[in-house]
Amino acid sequence: MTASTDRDPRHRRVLIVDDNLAIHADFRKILETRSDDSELEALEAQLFGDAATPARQTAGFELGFASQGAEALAKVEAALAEGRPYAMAFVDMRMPPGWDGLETIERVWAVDPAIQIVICSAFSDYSWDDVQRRLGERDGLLIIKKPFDPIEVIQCAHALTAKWQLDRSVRAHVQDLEARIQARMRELAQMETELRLAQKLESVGRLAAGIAHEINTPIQFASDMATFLRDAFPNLIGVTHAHAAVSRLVLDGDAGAVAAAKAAVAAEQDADLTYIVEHIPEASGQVIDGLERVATIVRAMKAFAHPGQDGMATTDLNRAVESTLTIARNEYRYVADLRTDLGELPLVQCRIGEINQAILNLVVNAAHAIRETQGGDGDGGSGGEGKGNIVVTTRADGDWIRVTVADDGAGIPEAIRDKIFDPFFTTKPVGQGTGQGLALTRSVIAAHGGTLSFESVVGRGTTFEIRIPVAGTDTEAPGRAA
Amino acid sequence: MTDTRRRRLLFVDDEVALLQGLRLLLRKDRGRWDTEFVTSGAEALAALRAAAAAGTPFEVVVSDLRMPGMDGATLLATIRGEFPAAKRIVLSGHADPAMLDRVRPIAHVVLSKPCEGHVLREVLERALGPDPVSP
Repeated sequence: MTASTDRDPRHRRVLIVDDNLAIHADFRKILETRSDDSELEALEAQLFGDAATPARQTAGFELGFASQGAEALAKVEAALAEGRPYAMAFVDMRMPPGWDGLETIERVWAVDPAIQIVICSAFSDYSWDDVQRRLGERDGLLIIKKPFDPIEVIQCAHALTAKWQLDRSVRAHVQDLEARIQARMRELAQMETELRLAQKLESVGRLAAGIAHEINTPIQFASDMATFLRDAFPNLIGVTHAHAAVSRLVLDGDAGAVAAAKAAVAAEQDADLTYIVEHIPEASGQVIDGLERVATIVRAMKAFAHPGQDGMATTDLNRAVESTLTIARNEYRYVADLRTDLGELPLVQCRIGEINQAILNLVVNAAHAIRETQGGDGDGGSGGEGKGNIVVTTRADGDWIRVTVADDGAGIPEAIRDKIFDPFFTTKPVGQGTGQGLALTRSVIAAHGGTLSFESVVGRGTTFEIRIPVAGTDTEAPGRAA
Repeated sequence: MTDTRRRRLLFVDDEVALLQGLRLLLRKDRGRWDTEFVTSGAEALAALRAAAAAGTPFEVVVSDLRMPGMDGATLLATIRGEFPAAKRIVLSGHADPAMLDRVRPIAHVVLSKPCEGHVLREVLERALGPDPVSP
């Protein structure tokens, strides 16, 4: 019989809890449909007791019976475990020797708060106020007085089982929505992580080309100068030997000294001595300068990438700015002269990798804004008459640090000012830029408890301003943990 | 002097230190090569025109690509039109393949920085070809 109720989506299990078996029979009469064997079953119940009575299907109701509170609790628990919980219970108030009705209800609700309860009371054991004080103000509770009207019982059963069903489907719906929202949030977080990575890779790729250029030039001239020095040494040594030979002949009083001296002077000429001597200081100095330039770039790359340091850390922001500008140099130097105005700053708590990335984005954007005004082809501004200007400023401002990146480029048109922070918004041609630069820059700064703002005049230029707290607010950006 | 028989080479790069490195590297070739160094495309065109007018044209031009003002690609394209006899060599630190593709058709040789001294010298020798028979 239960198999059919399993398949009934409207299956409504009702538990009767009463120490009086006659009452069980009353409920059965009221809630059961007329059927031929009902008399027989009632007899059977009386003979074998309620515990042995199998739950049976009635007019849409599947009844269960308990004559004690503890037994009721056991049945509720078993029904829950089975995945077929009771929708409601009619509970008697006085059920000696065990728990009374209120205690039974408390315990039942402790394991199954959804079950609807009707208290059946012959005595005014407790007033409604008492009941409410004990059980709290709940909408899953009704009281009917014995002797009760069968119609009242049927109405209660229909109304409360229907309410239980509705509660259940609403709860399931809410859970489903919550699960969907959670899944969507996870997706979004994942997406943001991927976008950050894409943007980082994009800038790393672009920087790599620029950095290669910045490094290749000093390596070229340092190695050319070193080659010159290497080739110059044998000449120098040859001339030195020739003069040493002359000196020895002179000391020995040898008559051949004059001829040897003439030969030594001639060797000077052949060895290009004057030129070599004149250029040795410059060449060796340039070798060192070239290597130092390479070392500076490599150090800056290390500082920019900050491997293994993703968390908040005490940072010298001015040094970080200088490193970032060093590796970004190739991005702006053909279109703009860059000036820094770095104020005295306290040490700042921040995730420096992210702040570096933010400053880099702003400087690259500034260079692009200037290139727009030069009408260049993007490869060094062939049409560029005179470079633009970028000024990077840092200032301490109370508990805050301000970093501004100002350019005298094209400016941001009024019409797109409210869009520039939107993800995927870009003014660059397809394939150049993910449109994530400013969106992510803003989210990174927001995650530091700071703000990113700008002022722009079309035709005059744009100034972006980063504000972050000195003490650092570690609001993890959404998606970072994913 | 052997000046009249020296082959003339022009080097263009916005980085002065790089030009000075090439100058010192090629110092030992001074007997056969007459080198000149300029820092922009505009100066390069001026030097080429002056040399042609003086009857001692440059036979080889070695140019960087990315330079402020006129870039290397534009310079080489201009040289191809105006001085077709001059061999055009790119010496660039630029790693952007698109940029290199752009200049390949207008350059005889594309070299990447850093380029070893002996490689550069060999490329220059090949570009110049054998010395003309002295009159």
